[in-house]
Amino acid sequence: MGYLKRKYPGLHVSAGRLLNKGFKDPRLHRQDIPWESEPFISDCTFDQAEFQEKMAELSVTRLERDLLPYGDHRVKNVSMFKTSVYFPFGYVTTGRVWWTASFRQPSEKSFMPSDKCSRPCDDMTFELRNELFFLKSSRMVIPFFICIPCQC
Amino acid sequence: MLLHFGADELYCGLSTPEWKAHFGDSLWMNRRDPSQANIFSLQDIQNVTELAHEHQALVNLTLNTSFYPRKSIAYLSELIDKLVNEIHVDALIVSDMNLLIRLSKENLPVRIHLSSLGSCFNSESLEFYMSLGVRRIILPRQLKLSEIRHLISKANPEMEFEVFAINDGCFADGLPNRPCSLCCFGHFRDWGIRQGCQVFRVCRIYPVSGAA
Repeated sequence: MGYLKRKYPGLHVSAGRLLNKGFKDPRLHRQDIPWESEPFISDCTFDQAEFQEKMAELSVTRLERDLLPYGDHRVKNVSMFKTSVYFPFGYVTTGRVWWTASFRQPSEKSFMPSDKCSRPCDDMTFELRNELFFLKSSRMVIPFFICIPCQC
Repeated sequence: MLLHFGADELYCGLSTPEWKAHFGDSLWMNRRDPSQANIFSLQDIQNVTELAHEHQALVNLTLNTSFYPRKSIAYLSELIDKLVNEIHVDALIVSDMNLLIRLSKENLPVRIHLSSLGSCFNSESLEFYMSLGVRRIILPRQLKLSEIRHLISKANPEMEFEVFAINDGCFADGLPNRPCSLCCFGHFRDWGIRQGCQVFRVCRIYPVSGAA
């Protein structure tokens, strides 16, 4: 982003969804998320003020995001940025099954992933609505973007 | 033992009872399961830090979770104040962007190290992280030696670099019929289970010594 700002000052730059960290681990099962974690699982990097200020400094005008699979996954665009929503989903999780994660595990469980993908994306639908317009879609093979204007 | 044998930096994680009370078991303070490889009290961190400093060694504390929700950053800010100003840990290892930005504004007397999860792959990223007060980059594991060499040649001389050597090399390597960690994931999963480590040894793709 710094390079683009310097090299092409007039370019409109979007911050991609891979920069937006949150609780997207598809190994989680919705029913296993404890109540005390509920307030946190809808939060994400892009919704925090520090990140938004830094993006504004870098002349970013749009934030591209996934729908978070757990908690309240409505996109409430209250920032100074335009928003793109990526649909369907592309969740990536990383983990560690190496030595420390295998402590105290019997040998047949060592070096194995803790759980499988719970396929949270299968249960989600996409809805876009305002006073004049309503669109609803289930998971699609071909991804598409919806762009939402900023609120400023 | 580590200090006795000459370690000049210690790397550790913290998982406090207060964190667990506020955020439960599912939200970790760092990248390690709270039940494993963590120190559980500020008193223990203080003891470790005092002992390390007696041996002229540094203590680097991991706060390297990829994402901290807002409320946990507020908790961490208070905790960091104690860790830095009372316990005097030497460095914080961070990857969450909002925590990094927060720390850069507070200008605390502690070194900030960028976790390998910060994905610093190029010289532009180096400059960006340096502008946030990062003093050391822990390079992503995916970089080859030639790429590391090139990156360092472009860096400000004040920036330090750290690399993992053989990290995630497999503990099970050499044992019969035991898939290694990388073999258990993604595209390698079927290979690992079907063929076994002895055939593919994908964790050995990247050279760790000699010419890149």
